[in-house]
Amino acid sequence: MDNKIQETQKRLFRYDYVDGTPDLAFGGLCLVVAICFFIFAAFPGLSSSTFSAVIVWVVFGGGGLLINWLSQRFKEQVTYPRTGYVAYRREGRSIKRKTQLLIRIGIPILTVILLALLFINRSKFPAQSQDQAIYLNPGLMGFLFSGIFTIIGWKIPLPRYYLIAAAVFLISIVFFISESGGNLGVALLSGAMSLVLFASGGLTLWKYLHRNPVSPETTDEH
Amino acid sequence: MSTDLRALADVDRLIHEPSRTVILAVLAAVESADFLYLQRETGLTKGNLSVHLSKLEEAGYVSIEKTYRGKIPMTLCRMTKNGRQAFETYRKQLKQFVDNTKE
Repeated sequence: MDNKIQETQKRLFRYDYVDGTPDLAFGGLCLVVAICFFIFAAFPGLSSSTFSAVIVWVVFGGGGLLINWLSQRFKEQVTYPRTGYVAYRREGRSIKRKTQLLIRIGIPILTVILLALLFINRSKFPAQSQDQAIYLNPGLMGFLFSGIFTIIGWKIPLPRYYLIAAAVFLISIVFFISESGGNLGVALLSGAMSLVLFASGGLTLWKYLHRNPVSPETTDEH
Repeated sequence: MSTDLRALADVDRLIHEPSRTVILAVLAAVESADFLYLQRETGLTKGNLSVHLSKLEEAGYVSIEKTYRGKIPMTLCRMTKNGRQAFETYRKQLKQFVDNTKE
């Protein structure tokens, strides 16, 4: 009985991860990062401007919120009709609904506007002082992410995150040994990470959909 | 009868039923869960789960809200403050009993 309850609660804490959407969402975010740094690599003048620091944070924040919103809509359409809905408890004071709505809509719109402005005014950013403002070591970044995935795998616990951690670790070794750095390096690392995460999320989603076909009676009778 | 055994005899009978214990264990860990999730976790039929939830609702341990997810009706179940207190008391009583009867 005790074991059954423990198993039930373990499944409950893993429930958010069973359909692979967190992997796909984080993979999407990595792709956004890859695109962003690829643009910086292609237009080196951009990375040295103060404007770029703002763009990085807005793109990351906006991209994160947009991807979170998309994954929630995906869960509503795919996961909840198949295996049910669970709302987790939130500790502490929550932000007011209107503020949440403003953040969710405002930041993605701001992101799109800033990216459009960037593209329109790309000629104003000269190709000089390449990679001076944002110099990140992709190998070390990769090791850091590998550690984060290991912790996630241990905390949830889900073995597939250990595999992701191992894959990211191997990719990071390549970057570390080849000493490829700068914006292009970060773009390539993020791109590689997004591929690993898309593969993991896609496979998990495929297995989930096969195991849980939507039944014609998804409505309840209570 | 020893105090420990009396404590066990005093447990809330409404909670001390395997299916309802599992329902409450799930609800205790979340903000809310829908009927479909509870049905899959408990392995109960819709009718049985409905009966157990009604009993818990009557006792004031669970609140049930009928809402919609798009056009599909959804029954959201939530543990009330009373329910949380009762479940915590039940958990402590059982733990005390198990701790005192260890070999």
